[in-house]
Amino acid sequence: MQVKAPVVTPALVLRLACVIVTLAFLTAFLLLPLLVVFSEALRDGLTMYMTAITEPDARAAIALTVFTAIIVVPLNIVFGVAAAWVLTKFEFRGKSLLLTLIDLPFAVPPVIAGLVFILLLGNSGLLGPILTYLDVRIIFSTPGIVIATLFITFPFIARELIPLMQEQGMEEEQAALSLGASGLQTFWHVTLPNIKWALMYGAILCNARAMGEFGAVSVVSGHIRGKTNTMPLHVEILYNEYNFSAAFAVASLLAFLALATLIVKSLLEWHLRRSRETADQS
Amino acid sequence: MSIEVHNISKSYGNFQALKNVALRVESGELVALLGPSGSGKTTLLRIIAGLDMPDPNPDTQVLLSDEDVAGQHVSSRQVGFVFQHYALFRHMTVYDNIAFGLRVRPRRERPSRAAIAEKVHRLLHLIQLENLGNRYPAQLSGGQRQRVALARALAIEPRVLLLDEPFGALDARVRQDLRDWLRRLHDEIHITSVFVTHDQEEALELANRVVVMNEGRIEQIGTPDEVFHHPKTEFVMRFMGHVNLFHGRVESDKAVFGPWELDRHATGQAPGQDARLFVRPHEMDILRESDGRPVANAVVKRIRSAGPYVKVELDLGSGEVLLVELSHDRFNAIQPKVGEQILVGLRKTRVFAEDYVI
Amino acid sequence: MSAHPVSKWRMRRRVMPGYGLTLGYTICYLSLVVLLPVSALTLRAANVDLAVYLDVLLDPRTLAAFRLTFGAAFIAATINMVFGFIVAWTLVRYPFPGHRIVDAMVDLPFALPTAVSGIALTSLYARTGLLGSVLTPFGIEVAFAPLGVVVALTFIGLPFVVRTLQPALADLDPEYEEAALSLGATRVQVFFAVILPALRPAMLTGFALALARALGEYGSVVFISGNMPMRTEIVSLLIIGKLEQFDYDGATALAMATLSLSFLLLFSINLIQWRYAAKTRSAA
Repeated sequence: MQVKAPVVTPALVLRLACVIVTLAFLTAFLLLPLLVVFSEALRDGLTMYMTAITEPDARAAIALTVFTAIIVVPLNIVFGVAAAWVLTKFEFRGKSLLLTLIDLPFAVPPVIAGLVFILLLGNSGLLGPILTYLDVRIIFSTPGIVIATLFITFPFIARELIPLMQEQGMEEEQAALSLGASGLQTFWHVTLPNIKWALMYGAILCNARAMGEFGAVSVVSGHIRGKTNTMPLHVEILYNEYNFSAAFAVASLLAFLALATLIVKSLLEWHLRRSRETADQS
Repeated sequence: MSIEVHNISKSYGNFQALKNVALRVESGELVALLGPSGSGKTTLLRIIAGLDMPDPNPDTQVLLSDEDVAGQHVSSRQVGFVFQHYALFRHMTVYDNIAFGLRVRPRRERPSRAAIAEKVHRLLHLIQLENLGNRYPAQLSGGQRQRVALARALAIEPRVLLLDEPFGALDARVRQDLRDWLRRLHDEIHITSVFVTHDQEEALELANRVVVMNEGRIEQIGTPDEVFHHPKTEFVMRFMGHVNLFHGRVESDKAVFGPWELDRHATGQAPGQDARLFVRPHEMDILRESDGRPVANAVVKRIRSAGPYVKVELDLGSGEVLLVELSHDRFNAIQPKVGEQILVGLRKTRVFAEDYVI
Repeated sequence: MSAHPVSKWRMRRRVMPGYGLTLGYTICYLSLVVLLPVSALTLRAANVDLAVYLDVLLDPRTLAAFRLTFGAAFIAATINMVFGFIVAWTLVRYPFPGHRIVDAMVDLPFALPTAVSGIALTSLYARTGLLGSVLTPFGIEVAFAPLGVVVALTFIGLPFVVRTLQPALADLDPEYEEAALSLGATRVQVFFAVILPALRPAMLTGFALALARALGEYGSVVFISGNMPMRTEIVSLLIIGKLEQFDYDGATALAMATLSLSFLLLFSINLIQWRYAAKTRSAA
């Protein structure tokens, strides 16, 4: 019987090999693309970079992207909370169907999602005649972008909340009610504090997707410069015009957004784990 | 404040949790709802609280001090409910948990900040946790959480106090302490209280009256003495502790159960039917010579002398094992040995007809 | 105070508040944002002539696009199964300095807008790019070739595989491995006889998620593929092409074909899962 293992065991070799393969694969597939964005963005110098992200079309694209997220994220938060509440606090017929339908947008490819809205709201679409009569333009304008983004990011928040609220049960809410709290007080003082981290988690994922969505928005936007271009669409246009460094400059802003999302996400995961652990204790 | 319910039924799909139950709890009583899991005891408690709704029926009534609250929501019934797993608000301190019920009142009924503080401190004193007001529930032991849950329920000055398996999640030692404490607390504040338990010892020790439930019905309501010593049904008899069972037949003047013959009139059963004899282990005796009461021959199989009683297992010859509990004094007087032939006598018997339908 | 004996039952059937409000809101919002639009597609699809379907779907260009989309998605999901497994295994079993940062980075493809991934991968793998300049001398063309589609789809599918495998690996009780080792199995035997079967459901789920995502992917692919008809054109791009020509019927036909094929594919993966689950349940 050996007291001490030899320095190089097969297990150690395997371990090293796994770490090396992992790092190599992730470097090639994740790190390099990210670095390329920043290096290409700065290729023509900082001045060009600043010009590229402050020129009017870029500013309009940034504004439209932020505007879309500001509308979409709160709407999906309200929906996510309502859907999670009804699905975790009550038993009713058709519950599993409802759950499936909420996930439906995840199964629809972005381009087809865009097509769906053209078929509904476009000139020759299902509601086209009504919209033409009312002189309302949705497709190839801002409302179309907002609606398509709404569809794409629809399940994000509900999906984060449902498993957590299922796990937490409803005894705390029932306790609050038995102490005389109203429905709104119960939600505000008891439910919301218990789900806040998961809610924020869902919200930042929803936000990242809303700001970065390309396929669906590309179909419904009509690519009108300075008007219906979001940041990803603006990147595409600049790139197709061979204005690479400008394209990467705008893209770098989106990459910052992605990095910020990842950092906040990791922090929230830490909070979520902790709140789950205390839930197990009590 | 009395509690009264009438015609309460509750079904979940095909499962009937409660079958037309009626119950009255007098003001100031401490009543136990006792039964196995699935007997409907928790459902009944939750219906009294308003946390569950009974099946719709115009004759259903839930009366708190003779006022029908069946249509009232739990939040307006003003009942103190202590949940089995306490359901403390995990993101609030002990202090905030206890103060919650006062703070959520509409502004004109809400006590002042000072009044709330005073009340919470009084309750913290009552539950002997004066120094732990700033702790979070996760930082408390099970027994402490239980007491915080109780204080939180008491803070709203409830009309009645309802406790769901109050000691279910605690270990044996804490359980006993908390049980004594709750008994003393009830003697002090005399609030009408109902608690659910599946532990007959807990029910017998703590309650003024015990409601024994089984399969959605009430089997018996009575004082601890009544349900233990005079069980009305076979179920209650069995549920209150170990019983020795014998099958037999009631004849015109006697009833025969294996080796024993009893006087029919003493059994209270009509002649000409099959019946069962129940005898509790402590209601049997071991003898060396017959004292005139019915006795049977048996062989001592096993003796366990640990604990307050000596438990003796006997073989009646038919392979049936009989359990007898003796005091240590009685055991020392007889000194039975394993393998020895001995006589068993009955000090108390209960006979239930075989076709008794629950 | 007390209500009429019968009407009181109409007042409250549910103890938790907000049932009507939240259910009503959920259904309305779901109908407006999801059901109504999706039904517009199915309505349109029902009205498209069979001839149009045949015409569009049997076009060689369409067939090539379908072959590329499904083929590349399948290959990418398979690559992710292998490398995703190694990544997940390393992150769970072999913590190394900085593994938390690496772990957080795995979600990058999820957080990075697809258009950004697309242009970044393109310039990385273009003939003059950092990796492209290394690969080109070996005759390996990535950008503007079918291989580029595979690369892009591997990129976006990675987190799905890793994130499904990680919890399954963490839950894998070392007792099973130790039991097998104590019974005299070699490490290789333990891996194939104990670990892989236990992870099979999670691997299949991860595969299915990565595949589903890859089948519909657009942004990261359009830049790197070069979009040459018959060679590097994916179905999503064909749909956009039809839309640009206002050929809504053709676009609808393509969309319906994609959706049906991918549902069929995912359904059969689920079927395998259920079969497997039923088998292990009855064995237990």
